[in-house]
Amino acid sequence: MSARTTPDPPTDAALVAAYRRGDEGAATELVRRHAGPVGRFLYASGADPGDVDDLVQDAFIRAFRALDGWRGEASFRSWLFTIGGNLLRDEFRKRKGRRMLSLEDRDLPDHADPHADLAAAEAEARVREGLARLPRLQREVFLLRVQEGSGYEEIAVALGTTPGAARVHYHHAVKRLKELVR
Amino acid sequence: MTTCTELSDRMPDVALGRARWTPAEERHLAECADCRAEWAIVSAARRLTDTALVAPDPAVTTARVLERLRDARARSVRRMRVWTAAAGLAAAAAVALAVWTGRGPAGPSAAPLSPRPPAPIATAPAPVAPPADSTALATAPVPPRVELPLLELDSLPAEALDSMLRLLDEPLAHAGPDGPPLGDTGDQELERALAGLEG
Repeated sequence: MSARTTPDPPTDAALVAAYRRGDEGAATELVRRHAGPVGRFLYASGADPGDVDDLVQDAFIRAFRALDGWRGEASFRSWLFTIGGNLLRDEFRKRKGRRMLSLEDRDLPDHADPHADLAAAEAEARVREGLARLPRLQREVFLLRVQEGSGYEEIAVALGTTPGAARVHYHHAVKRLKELVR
Repeated sequence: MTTCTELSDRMPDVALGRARWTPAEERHLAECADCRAEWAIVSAARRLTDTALVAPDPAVTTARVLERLRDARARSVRRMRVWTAAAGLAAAAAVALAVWTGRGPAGPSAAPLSPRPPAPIATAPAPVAPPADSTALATAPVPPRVELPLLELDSLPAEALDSMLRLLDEPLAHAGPDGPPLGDTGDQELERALAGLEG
């Protein structure tokens, strides 16, 4: 019996290079890998759920058109988050600062313990509302750290700051969220 | 002993399921209200990523993204073709102009692209029509070879190319087989066109 080995999936960098050579399948794989996390990042950052799909598409379009801007120092996903953050900021400006956050349209989970789930859902809604009120850099550092588990080095590269500054932003974000969510 | 900073640094990894609390960390968490508040925020923020509501359908997203990229690429290619055609047209027009001036009644004097006195052109009608007899052909002066720096067209802005085309259109449009001879009416236009070519 021969042992079957599955080849390692291509890295994001390899997929980006393949797409630049004209391989649309590589773009498909990149979207498949990152569309969900980018959508959740945008949602957590305060995007209206109804706008998330469009924002995700716009983020990928902008990314694919500007692949020269990704030098591979930060992960492709962090770079997409940065692009998504820029799009969201533009969207906020277009709406003249009106928050896109909507707490009413949050679907509540349907689990065995409705009281615990309700409490968890309320906590998430409050955190999301607090995140939308944070300064952009604090919010993005916090979300990259908590949702992606990125280290301060990578966050610093993705957001154009230093690891030390990223750490400070993270702790400021936590402090402000504690105040806002209390 | 676990400090609040150490616990804070570990929270994302534990929230993401990459690590577990150690007994010491659990004890610290049970005793420290500040760390518990932070943990509640971090774990709630982490749970936001589980929200199915905002997970875009990758297949749909991919299809739309690729469609929009293809549209953008097609638009870009169309724009490039239009510009290429415009540049080719301008080059062809410049060559046509050079041929016309080279075959004009002034003959070799048309070779240097410099202003000429209008009199010889005005008094020599219909240089376009070929001579009727073959002797005239044999004695006709050989048009000089005119070399145009066509590559310079590439560096001209679109407005200059358009202007050049407009200048070239008039005399050529009137110089059909039955139209008035080029030398009769087109001299000033030719001069303007030449001036345009020379910058």
